[in-house]
Amino acid sequence: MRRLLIMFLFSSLIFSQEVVSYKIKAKLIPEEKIVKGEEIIIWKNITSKPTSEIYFHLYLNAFRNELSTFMRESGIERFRRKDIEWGYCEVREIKINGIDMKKKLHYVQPDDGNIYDRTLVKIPLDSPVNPGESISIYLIFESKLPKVLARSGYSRDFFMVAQWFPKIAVLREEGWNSHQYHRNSEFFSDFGKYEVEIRTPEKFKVVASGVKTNEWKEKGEIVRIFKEDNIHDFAWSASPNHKIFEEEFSMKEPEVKTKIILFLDRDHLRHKERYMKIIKKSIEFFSKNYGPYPYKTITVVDPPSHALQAGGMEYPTLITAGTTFWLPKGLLFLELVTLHEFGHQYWYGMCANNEFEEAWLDEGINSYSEVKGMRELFGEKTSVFNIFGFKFGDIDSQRLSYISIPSFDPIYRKSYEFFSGGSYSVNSYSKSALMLLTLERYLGEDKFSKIMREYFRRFQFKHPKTEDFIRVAEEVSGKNLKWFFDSFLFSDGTIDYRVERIMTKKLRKPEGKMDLKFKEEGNWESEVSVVREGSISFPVNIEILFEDGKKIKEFWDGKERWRKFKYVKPSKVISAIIDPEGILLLDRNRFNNSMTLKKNPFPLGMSFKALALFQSILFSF
Amino acid sequence: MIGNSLKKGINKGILNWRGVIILWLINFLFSLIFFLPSSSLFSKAFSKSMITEKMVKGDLSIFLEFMTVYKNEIGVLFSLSFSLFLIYWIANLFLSGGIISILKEESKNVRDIFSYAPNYFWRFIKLSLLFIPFLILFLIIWRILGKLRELFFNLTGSEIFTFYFSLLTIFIAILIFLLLRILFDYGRIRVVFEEERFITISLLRTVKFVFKNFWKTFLLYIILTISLLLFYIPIYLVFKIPVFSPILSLLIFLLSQLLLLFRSFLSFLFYSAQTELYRSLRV
Repeated sequence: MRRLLIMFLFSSLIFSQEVVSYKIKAKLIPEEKIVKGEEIIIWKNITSKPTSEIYFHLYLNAFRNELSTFMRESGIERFRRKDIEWGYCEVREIKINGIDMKKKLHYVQPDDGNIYDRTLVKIPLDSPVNPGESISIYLIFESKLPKVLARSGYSRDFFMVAQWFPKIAVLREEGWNSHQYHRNSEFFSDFGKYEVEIRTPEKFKVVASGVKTNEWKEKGEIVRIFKEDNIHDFAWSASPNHKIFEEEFSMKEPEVKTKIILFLDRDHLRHKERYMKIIKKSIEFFSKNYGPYPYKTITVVDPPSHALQAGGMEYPTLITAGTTFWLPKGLLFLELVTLHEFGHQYWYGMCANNEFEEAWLDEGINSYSEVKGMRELFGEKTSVFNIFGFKFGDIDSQRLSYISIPSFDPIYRKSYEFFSGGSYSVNSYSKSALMLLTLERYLGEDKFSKIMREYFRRFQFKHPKTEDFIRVAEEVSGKNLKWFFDSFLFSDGTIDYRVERIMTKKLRKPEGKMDLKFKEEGNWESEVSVVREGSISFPVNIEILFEDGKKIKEFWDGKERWRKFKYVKPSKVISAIIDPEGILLLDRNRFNNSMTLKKNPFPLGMSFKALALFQSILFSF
Repeated sequence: MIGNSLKKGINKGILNWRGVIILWLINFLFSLIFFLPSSSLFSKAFSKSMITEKMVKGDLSIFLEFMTVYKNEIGVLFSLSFSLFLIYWIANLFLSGGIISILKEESKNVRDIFSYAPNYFWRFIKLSLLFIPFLILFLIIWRILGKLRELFFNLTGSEIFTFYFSLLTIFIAILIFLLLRILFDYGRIRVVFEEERFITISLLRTVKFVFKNFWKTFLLYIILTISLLLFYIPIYLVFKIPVFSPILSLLIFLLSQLLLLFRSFLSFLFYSAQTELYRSLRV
């Protein structure tokens, strides 16, 4: 039977572009928080070179003990808590092309040499796999789920089963691309076919990546089969306390037909419509702006409040969101997280970049899309919250996060090499999003929209790299953008433009012996000085306003540290604004981007308000 | 009785308008210490910047960016505030002896506030120290309620139940907090009215008094607290006035100070109404 199955998998791979095919049988033992599994992998060498070894990720071993690279990078104190339960992934048996390889399996640590880390294994092969050849791998494994952390594990009887099976690493032309599991990184895998059989006790409801093709009861258990092609990971969730809601979704331009599956916690039933509405809007937004959503399903897992750490994560055709029972309508966190995670179906799911090495390609592009999507759906200034008269937009939230962390790293850096978790997060999400929004404003919305569509079209179901994105941007825009990406993507530099001063004086008749008639008498001489702080520059306009209401727009490429603009006119300069169009979103201090000579009543008014507020507080003592 | 105490309290507040002004003035002078560095910070950030046009229109993001860009300066302001809170509290404690005394003696002379105040200051300090165990108890109860909430959540896993339980714990905490404030107020009134020197005994008698007349003392305090909360509506509206011109700035200043004068009256009313209630209940 197994031989027949392997033959079937072989034949299916030969006719598809997919690199790998997984057939997994998994059984959840809820009392022990263990998943026992059997896995058959057919893997094809699609490079032009033979390989004599293969690598597997055993991601759950990140939670094996406090010496794993993940735990060390996290600061183990965070996890040294009373209720911690460790997790692991053990390979019990492994055969390659029918030959037992268990003894050859050994753990490797290419990133940091941490011998206690067991998240990556290497198996030398008896004979090399030549280009175009395939091998079959048979594994028996056991995965113990940790108490939910880093978006994986269990909490009470809720299970978020992610990164749970031995997964083959990616072979590229330059060799195996295999990394350990790091605190600040996500994952990277080849596209493939997945057929997963999940067996759980009868009381459990289960949702998973892909389409459920069959389901039957067997000795107090339910067995479900899920299948999907062209995906690069598989996750599932099980709980007896969740309700499953399903709705068909279709749209005509572009044509999309999919089924929305919502796995909703019993305490969050009141948010069902909010979830359904935002997921439909998300499919619509992404399909219209980038390309049609191609999969037959999209599953949204809503973790219970005791498992919130499982929320806000993406897997192919399955996302985890998150909410609380009391979340008011004006707080749009549910919508923001759901739209963001859905966006990852495009930027990670289909354009599957290497998240270990170029996280900005998924998190940054997705944060950019999130800002655009949330703005379209909820308004620029109200897309994070709009409650009791307080309004806050997503673009402002990205800026706030960007300016709150000092710039220690460039955006383009391996995820695990950033100065800190904060630096990883700001660079990969906020700064990248702001960089793309700046580029969009610089090139024009229509042109940038074409760039994004073309990037998605070219790299759907592929593994794009940073240079691919830059190439598309340059080709579509017809501009050399090297200077832009060198400044904002590859450099850790910052930028802060400032209006240094405005000087004006009325010209009078000069003293001394004059050879020519002084024509400018009675005019005003004005001088506007602008300064660049930080090591990178960006071309900006400067709007100069004169007292008689006339405006002049000056261009400054920002390359020199400073520039002075001088005018002799009948009217004097009264204000200057750098970048009045608000193109440059990466300026670290916007307060000094403008200067006015007019009396500004605002500081005094604010001071009076602060005084009154302070007095009110004092009175309560 | 409560209505009568309130009525008399209001009358005494009006008659002692000089005392109300003294309370406001001291509050204002203390706040000036905060005002000077804060206005210098606002001036540094905004005096020449045109970004304030966005802020005037209520753009919260600019305000949050201001908090981020100037976080060090704001940190210093916060530290200064905490020191001021402590000193102001001590000054207020000092004045309260004088205010309760003039209310007892039915005097309208402001000078009496300052001449009576020193008589009670150390006794009030002792009384405050005696409240430390109460505050510790309050914190312990708060912690226990938190643990209970955690326990229920772990047992049931129900977020809805935990949410309502959290509301209940907050309600209980507010009740306990109000009760402590009532005890502290009547403790001071008792010390002045009965000229008691043994503060521990005085506090025990206050506890007995408050619990014996619990609904009256509690209801009066609740009415006073509600009137205090209502005060924040007009002050919020003043805060919403946009600062387009120096005249509007001036208007904000005048309106807010007028309201704070009323707030000062409310502070005085807390003393006067509770003093009147004590006077009628001790008979």
